[in-house]
Amino acid sequence: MTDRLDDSTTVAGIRILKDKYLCREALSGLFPDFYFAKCDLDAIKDLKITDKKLVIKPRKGFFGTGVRFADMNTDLIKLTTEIRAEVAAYSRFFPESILSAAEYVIEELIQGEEYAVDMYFDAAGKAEIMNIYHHPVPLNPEYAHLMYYSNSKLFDEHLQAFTQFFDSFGAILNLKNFPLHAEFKLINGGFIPIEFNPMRYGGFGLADLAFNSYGFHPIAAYYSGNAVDWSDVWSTRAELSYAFILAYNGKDVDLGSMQPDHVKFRAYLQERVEIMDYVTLDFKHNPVFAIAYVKSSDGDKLNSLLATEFSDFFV
Amino acid sequence: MGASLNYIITGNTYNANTPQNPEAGITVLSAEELSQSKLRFLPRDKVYVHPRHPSAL
Repeated sequence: MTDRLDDSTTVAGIRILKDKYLCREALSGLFPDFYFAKCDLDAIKDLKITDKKLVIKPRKGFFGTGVRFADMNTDLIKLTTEIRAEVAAYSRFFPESILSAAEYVIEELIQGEEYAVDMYFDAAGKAEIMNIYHHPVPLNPEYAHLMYYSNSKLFDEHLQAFTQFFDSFGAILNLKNFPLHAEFKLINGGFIPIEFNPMRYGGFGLADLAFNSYGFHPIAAYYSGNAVDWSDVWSTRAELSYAFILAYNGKDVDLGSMQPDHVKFRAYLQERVEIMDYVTLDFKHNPVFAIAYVKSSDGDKLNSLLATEFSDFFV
Repeated sequence: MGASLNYIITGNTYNANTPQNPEAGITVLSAEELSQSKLRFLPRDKVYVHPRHPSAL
């Protein structure tokens, strides 16, 4: 993709955002106290870990491949052996540009509630927020992306902070006409970015939550350069929360002999929340069988969906 | 200087509303169609790239 772009600034921005070390370097002026370093795989065993918990990950990677946590009690020789084996297994399928086997980034472990933002930088480099999501942890960690939701409280509390962050970060990288999906951890009242996905919003239809909730298409807004008046948006729906529900293939399900029962799953949702849209997916070619866009004015009922066991909806 | 053009490159995962029902002025290409073309994106163009991997969110 980048080899088709005749815009060196955009190409440089994409490369920095996809390289975990370069990205931390670019962020270092905004987060001067955040610890990060890089090293070769063979040097991991010599790390001197003190009181901080660390995360070690390939400099370029995805899908959590080769990612490990370490503290002062970790057997780093054993950990290195595990990383080497896991990355080697995946390196057969992915080039060095996607998964780096030799270089690793070490950074302090950030523990906190996870948030995500879809946004774009307009033609002048101004940040326009397209949605803010809270990504709560589901009961079953295998269904990691089960729910992302948004409501007026999120915007009241965090719109200004996110807009200021993106305006500053965009100026550092000189990003213009550039969509972005970013993930953050909230720690001690401040956001630390943990991942950037350039040239797009949230995948698997997450960004369609804005259309189903607020009536505008975020991709079209990027093309037109339209900004959103969020105080106007929330003035007519302040009591509602809007959620994206990703319905996973059940963890215990034999996909060769069983299939999702969409009627049963929809009924389960409708007992708790209002369905705005429901998209069926080919479960044999995806790790999920449906996307539901839902809304509710009852936070407890919405949160109850975090305990969903998707194996119950296969027959 | 010509007008900017709008492109969506679709991925292998679910591509959401806009690529399935593109408004006028939006060119939708699969990654395979892009690789087989000689298309180049100019600095004034706006490009949106959907995830290729089915687990990317």
